[in-house]
Parts: sequence; C-alpha cells; structure tokens
Amino acid sequence: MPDLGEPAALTVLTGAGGWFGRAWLRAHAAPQHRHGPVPTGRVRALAGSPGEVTGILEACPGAEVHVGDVVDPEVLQTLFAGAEGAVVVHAAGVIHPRRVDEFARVNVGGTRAVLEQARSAGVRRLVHVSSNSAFGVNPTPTDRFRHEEPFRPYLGYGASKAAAEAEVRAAHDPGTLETVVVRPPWFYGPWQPVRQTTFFTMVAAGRFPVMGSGAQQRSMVHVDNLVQGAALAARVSDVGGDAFWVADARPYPMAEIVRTVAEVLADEGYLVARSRLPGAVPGGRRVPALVARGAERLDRLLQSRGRYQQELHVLGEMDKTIACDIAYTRERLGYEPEVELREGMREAVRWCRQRGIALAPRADGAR
Amino acid sequence: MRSGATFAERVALACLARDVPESSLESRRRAAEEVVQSLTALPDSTRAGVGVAGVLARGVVGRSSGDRLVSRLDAAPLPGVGEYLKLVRSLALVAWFEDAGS
Amino acid sequence: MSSYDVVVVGSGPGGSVTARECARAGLRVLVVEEGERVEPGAVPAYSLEQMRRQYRNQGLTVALGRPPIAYTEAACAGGGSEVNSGLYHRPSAELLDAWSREHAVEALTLPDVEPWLGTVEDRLQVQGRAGELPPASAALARGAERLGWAGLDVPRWAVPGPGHPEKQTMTRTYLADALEAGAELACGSRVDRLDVHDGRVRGVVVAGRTVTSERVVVAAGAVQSPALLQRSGVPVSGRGLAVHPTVKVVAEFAEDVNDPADLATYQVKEFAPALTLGGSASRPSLIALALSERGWSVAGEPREAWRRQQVYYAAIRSRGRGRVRSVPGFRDPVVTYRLTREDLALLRSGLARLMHLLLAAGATRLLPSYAGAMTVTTNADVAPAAAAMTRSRAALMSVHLTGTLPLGERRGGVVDSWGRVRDVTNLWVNDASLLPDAPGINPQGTLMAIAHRNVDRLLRGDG
Ligand SMILES: Cc1cc2nc3c(=O)[nH]c(=O)nc-3n(C[C@H](O)[C@H](O)[C@H](O)COP(=O)(O)OP(=O)(O)OC[C@H]3O[C@@H](n4cnc5c(N)ncnc54)[C@H](O)[C@@H]3O)c2cc1C
Repeated sequence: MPDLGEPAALTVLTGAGGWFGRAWLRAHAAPQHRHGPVPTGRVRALAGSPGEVTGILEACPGAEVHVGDVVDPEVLQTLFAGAEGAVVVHAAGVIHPRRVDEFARVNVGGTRAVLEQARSAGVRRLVHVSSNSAFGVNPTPTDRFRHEEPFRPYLGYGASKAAAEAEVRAAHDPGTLETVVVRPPWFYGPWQPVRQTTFFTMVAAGRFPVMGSGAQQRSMVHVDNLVQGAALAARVSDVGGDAFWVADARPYPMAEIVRTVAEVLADEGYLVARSRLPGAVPGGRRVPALVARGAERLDRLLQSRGRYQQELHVLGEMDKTIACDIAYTRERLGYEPEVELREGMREAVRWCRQRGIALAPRADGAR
Repeated sequence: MRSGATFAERVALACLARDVPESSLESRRRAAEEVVQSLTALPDSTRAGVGVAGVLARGVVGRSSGDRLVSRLDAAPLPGVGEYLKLVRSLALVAWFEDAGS
Repeated sequence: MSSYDVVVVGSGPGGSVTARECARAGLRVLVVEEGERVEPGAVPAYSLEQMRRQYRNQGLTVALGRPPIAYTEAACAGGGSEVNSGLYHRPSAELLDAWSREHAVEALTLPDVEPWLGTVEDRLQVQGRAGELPPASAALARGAERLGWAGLDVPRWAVPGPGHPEKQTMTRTYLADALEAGAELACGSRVDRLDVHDGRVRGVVVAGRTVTSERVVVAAGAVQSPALLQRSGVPVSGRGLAVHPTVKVVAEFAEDVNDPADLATYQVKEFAPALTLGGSASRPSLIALALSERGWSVAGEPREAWRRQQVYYAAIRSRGRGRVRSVPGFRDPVVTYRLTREDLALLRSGLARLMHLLLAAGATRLLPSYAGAMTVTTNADVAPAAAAMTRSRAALMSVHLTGTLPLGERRGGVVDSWGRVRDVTNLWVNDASLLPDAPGINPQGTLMAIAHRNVDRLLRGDG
C-alpha cells in the first residue's frame, strides 16, 4: 500500500455541478469504503451557473458553494481565498459544447487559470481530471492504452484535454504546487446527465446503435471508482507530475455494455424491446460500421468549421475501441475499483427512478 | 533497350546532382550505371511496368535536364511517373552512398 | 541420370533442416539451390553487394497493393539465414494454440515443438549478448525504461567473433551438417517445375532436365514455394500470404549511435504480439534511402550526419493477406497484398508509439519514412506526423513472409498437419510457407522447429 500524506483541511472543487463533481461531493458527505480516502474536511465548490447550486447542495448539504466562470481570475481568487495547504480537484470542463472554440476557452484556458491561482494561493496539490480523448482510439479491440502513451487527440475535445494535461504535468513543482492527473474514460453511475439518460432510453427501446460486431471494447468508470482514484491522487505521496488511468477493473465489449444495461432495465421492472433478429444484442440495433465512419467524417468536417453536434460525435466514436490498462494505477496509487458494470448500472437506473426520471414504460404498467 | 538505359541514367544523374550536389561527376556517373544494372534485375512484372513508366517519363521530360527534369517528373500527373522517379532516385542514392558516401 | 531418395528445393532454414535430417538418416539427398554460395562474412552485411549476390531480384521485390509493400527474399546457399539479423524468439504457447485451433493442426502445441526448439537452439548456439548494449540498442532500452514499456535484447544465433559476432547461418551449421552426412548441393540451379503425374512427383526439372527422386521436399520460401507448385500444375491458390508490415523512422541523436555493420537487437515488446518496435540496418545508403522516402530532403543533410542517425521500425501483425500468382510467360510470380483498415490504424499507432519512445530516449529529431512526412522534434508533433501517414503516402516493407501453404487439416488446405501435399503422395513442403500466419516474432526459429517436427514424421512414416 502506498504512503498517504496528511489529509487537507480544505478541498476546493471546480466543476462541482457535473457528474463527477456531484459524485465526489456525495462521497464527501457520505463516504463509503469504495470511495477510498476521500477527504472529510471542509469543501468549497465552484458551480458554473446558479442553476447548478441546488444539485450541488443535494449531493453535499455542507458544501460552500461559489458560482462563476472557471476562466475568470476574480472568481478563482475568491474561490482560493485562504486555500493555503488545500487540495484542489479541477473537474471543470466542457465535453459537448455548442461551439468548438469553447473547448480551448474552458478546457485549456480554465485549467491555466486554475493552475495560476492555485499556485499563488499556496495550494498544496492539484488533481486534474483529464480524459481518454487526449489519446485517441486504440488501433485494435485488444490494444490497451498504457500509462505512458503519445498524445493522439480525438478531435476538438481531445486536443483541448491533451493540451490541458500537458500543462498540468509541466506545472508540477515539488514543494510549491504538486500536480497529479487522473484520466477517466466513459462514466456511468448516479448523478448522470441527460445524455446518459438518452442512452438508457435508447437501449430500452432496442434502438442503441451497435456498430459492426460489437466486439469493440470500452473502458468505463463508475463515478464512485473515479472518486476513489481521484481521492488517492489527492493523498498518495510521491506521485506529483504523474498521470493515472482510472477505470473499472476491465474494459467491456460494446455488445456487453448494451446487453447489460438492457438486462438491468428489465430486472428493474422496465419494458425492454427485444429484437428477434439472429445475433441481435438486446437493447441494441446492429448498424454497419460504415455508418460510424460516415458520422466521424461529418463530425470532423463540422468541427473544422467550428460547429459541434453531439449525436454525430458520439455516433462517430461508436465503432472504436477506447480502452486502457490500469495496472500502473493499481501499483502506484493502490487503486482497487470496487464497482463493476452490472451493479453500477443498476445503481444508476435506481437513481433515475428515485428522481422520477422516465427511462421506459414500466412492465407492470405503472408510471 | 539502349535508349531506355540512357534515359534512366539521365534521370539518375539529375537526381544525384540535386541530392548530393557536392559529389564528383565521376562518382555520380558510376552510380547512374549501377542504376541501369539494378533495373534489369527487377522482377518481370515490375520491370514491364517500369518500362512503360519510363516511356511516359521520357515524354514528360522532353529535352530538359538537371533540376528541371526532376521537377517535371515530380509534378507529372501521369500514373507511374512519380513512382519511376522515386525508384530511380532511390537506386541512385543507394548506389552512390555505397560507393562514395561514407 | 542420377536418382535420389530425396530432392530438397531450396537451401534456406527449412531446406537445410530437411536435408540434414534426411542425410543423417542415410538417404541420398540432393539440395537444389537457385542462388550462389557466398562464404559468411565475404560481403558486408546489408550492403548493395550483398543485395546483388544474395537476394532475389537484388532485393527489389514488391507486393502490389495500396499501399505496396516492399519485401525481400534471399537467393543463395543458406537462404534467408545468410543475410538476416539472427534474432531468435521462441513461439508462445498461445500462438501455437491459436494456429492449432484455427487451422486444425495436429500436434503443434508448445510441448510438441519444444524439443525441436531445443535442438535448433543448441545447434545454432542461440545466446544473449554478453556485455553492454551498443548505442543504437541502448537508446531503445533507455526509452523503454523511461516509459515503463517491456523490452529485451533479443538472443541471436551469433557467437562472439573477432570483429562482429559470427552469425550461425545455415552454411555454417545445418547445411554444413547435411553435406558432411553425404548430401549433395547444386547451387546456381533453379527448379523450373516439378514433374508431377497421376498424383506422384517423379522429380524436379532443372534447365529442361528432370532429376528423378523418390520424394521431393519444396522449401523455396513462402513466395517461391507456392509459385513453384503453381508452375507444376498443383492447384494452389497462393492466397494467405502474411507478412509483418513495417514502417520506419530515422532518429537523430546528439551523439554517435550508428554501427553500419550491425543493427539494434533490442526490441520493445510491450504491445506484442500485435506490435513490435526495434532497430533496422542503418548503413549510410540505407539512411539515405529512408530519408528519400519523405521527398526532397536528402540534399540538406550534412554528409557525416549518418553517424548520429539510426533507422528504427514499428512492425505489426497484419489482418490483411496477400497472394502469390505465377503468370505464364513470366519467370517471377506476381505478388499482391491487401492491407486492412485496422492494419493501417495499427501502423499509425505503432509509428506514434515508436516516435514517443525515441523522443523519450533522447532523440533530437525524427524523420518518419513516408512520402511528405514532417520532421518531429517534440511530443506535440507525434500525433500529426502519425495521422498524416495515409494509404497513398505510406512506404511499407517486410522481411518476414509466411502463410501461403498453411499446415493443418482444414478443408481446402493444400498440405496436411505435417506439410505433406494432399494430392501428391510423395511431395512435401517444409519452409516458412507452412506458418499459418505471420507470428509477431522473428520467424526463423519457429519455422525451423516445425521443419524438424515434419521431417521427423516424414522419416518415421517411411519406416
Ligand atoms: C533482411 C532479413 C532479415 C531477417 N531477419 C530475421 C531475424 O533476425 N530472425 C528471424 O527469425 N528471421 C529473420 N528473417 C526471416 C528469415 O530469414 C526467413 O523467415 C527464413 O529465411 C525463411 O526460411 P525458408 O526456408 O522458408 O526460405 P528462404 O530462407 O527464403 O530460403 C529459400 C531458398 O530457396 C531458394 N529457391 C527458391 N526458389 C527456388 C527454385 N525454384 N529452385 C531452387 N531454389 C529455389 C532460394 O534461393 C532460397 O535460398 C529475415 C529475413 C530477411 C530477408
């Protein structure tokens, strides 16, 4: 087990209203074993807009919430006031913006601003949430991204995350500001945004596109596994300047992901459409891989003109393998993911149900 | 056959003048002769293709020589001409470096 | 006209193993070899002179396709073993199991071939390097260590010599053993076709004359063996050619790294078997050749720069396949190869990872070898330089040829699990053609062990 440093009295979180942000705050408020050494001291949270505040407080009633733009130095100065010796978890970023230039403004500019203000405030360690998109896609279904890989960013988002990660690692300065990067792949779990709900409803309707054979693999990370990885990145000694893949124990074939969600939805009492086509993946609809390649081309074209179209982008990635190897993270951080796909998806479905988020008709006809 | 050989030599000399300008003409001549020899060793089907490409290339360059000859071949839109240039150039480079280049 | 118990076509690793074992079993053996005999060390390794004397078509062979893949075959006594780098790997149990499964091969698990691997290792004196890594290898080792990627200095069939290590080629080992046991060797003799009648082979036709034999073993290499069978009227599709498509990068360092007479024997195996990173021959002429692939950039290079430059490669296991077709009226077969989309993705990824490794190793400048390639000096250059290698710009090569006559009991296969040609009772194939797929490792050790296994069966089957 690696050495853990002293816990920080104050944790500052950016991107608090997001999927990971709220999962992290929830772990703060109600820590479980699976969350690892998540800090229990005071927490200060930055929301991107006033609309996010309710959701943040729902996750963690004791949080001190600030509202503002992460690229705004004044907002950050207030956020980091008295943050000497604190830990910063920087999770603010945009994934599916309206315009492509948002990527650079928020993901790169925001990170730069946070680094600068954190340094002048005397923050001890900054944990930066990066992404698989900085590394592109794996060439084959069995290939895995290693701890050290060349940046090969996938389109605009990937390029911004690569630039940000490079700056964060370069900014590591032992004794002043330590920086550590965590790289999560595709999330799942409670606190999910609308796009994940769309994923569930498509699966329930048997309409989720499964490209080609469905053998392409995806690393996924349950948000609570990511919380553990980030918590370790904030605490483990002697890992400054390094970067860590934080994902579930193994990547899943795309067909398994879709089938598992379909089965969980059915288990949880939802009506799931079943295809009678031979070889069909429950919840999925087979689509030739060509469609994904067409979508990717179109996405590239639009992005080159500054436009961003979420459905197209997601579709374009669907025939790709995006999978990482977490061996180094296990070894250096002592990371042990506790949640796996089926159980984690079940939690997400129940979370939706508790909040009255409609996913599909109920099998018993109830609403 | 003979004129084909001399054409390949012309292309080889033009390439070498550009790639290794400081070399002696004598060393470039030797390398160009080697190129002709190598071309005869090509597998049948490749040699046939290269022969055709050589005829096309000759049409493209006309009477030009040196840099102009090379740029004309480099820019030619005809299929095979670019490959012809690449082949002759690489054979010439290898021959020159093996003989005089180290 | 003399008659033999066994005529072996080709004196490469497959043919030499066959000839030695048959001669030692007391059979009258003739080895027919198209190329000449050149004493090891008589011509400089990887030189133009070697290309001229020991390679087929002077090494200028290419598999047509988009992109084309340049490949090389030796044509000399001892075949590929005389010109190759001597790198030795044992095949993994997984590889042999996959072959056994996919091609229904009998007795091809690791325990089945292990004794033969031992025999080969002993005779070729396969050994690791004693002492320090030379600079070109050390660079790979340093990069791998910094990135935490697995790698090894690959053992070779080379014993320390007065100058460079002496490679234990076939003419020094198996072929010499065969001759000592009474086999005859006819160099400079090309077998034009086999004399096949009514499901039996009567002998081989050389310069219009038939040399008769009880049995014929074809070991002409993965391109020439199927071509010879085709010329002889044996129905062989020639499909299934499998190679390790390879991309190259010239790396420049601040200090001297280049030993023109040898290459880097270190390989990065972190992504094996799909992807292997290693070092290529780097004589000044080969550096110039690699640079010329990029366009007009050789002229600006200072003449002595080659000492600080070294060619490195990324080689992949390919899902694509090629085909060998002999065409009436043409002496040489037409070879084609279809690289798949996934192959190209893997090559790009390999190129990117190779460049990442070389930068980590301290290279100051990287010159990827494909048409129009940019110069890479920082990590940020790697992605665009890899992405720009399209089908039309790629310059690929391979020196590992396999797969054209895969052994096994699969329906439609030309040979059985032991290399015996199904439709011709006394005809065998025993060379790299039998490997069902390019193995993701340097193949000679594997093919020699399989050749041993097959000839053992052939001899026992004879009673
Ligand atoms: C440059 C280079 C480097 C390599 N490096 C390595 C390495 O480090 N490690 C490794 O394991 N492998 C290496 N290889 C591959 C290895 O050399 C081959 O896999 C091996 O030689 C194949 O053996 P073979 O018996 O199938 O055929 P070959 O070695 O190709 O021998 C076939 C012989 O048959 C002769 N022949 C063909 N047709 C006829 C005919 N019609 N009549 C008479 N004779 C004929 C040919 O002239 C040739 O000599 C390398 C290959 C090359 C070219």
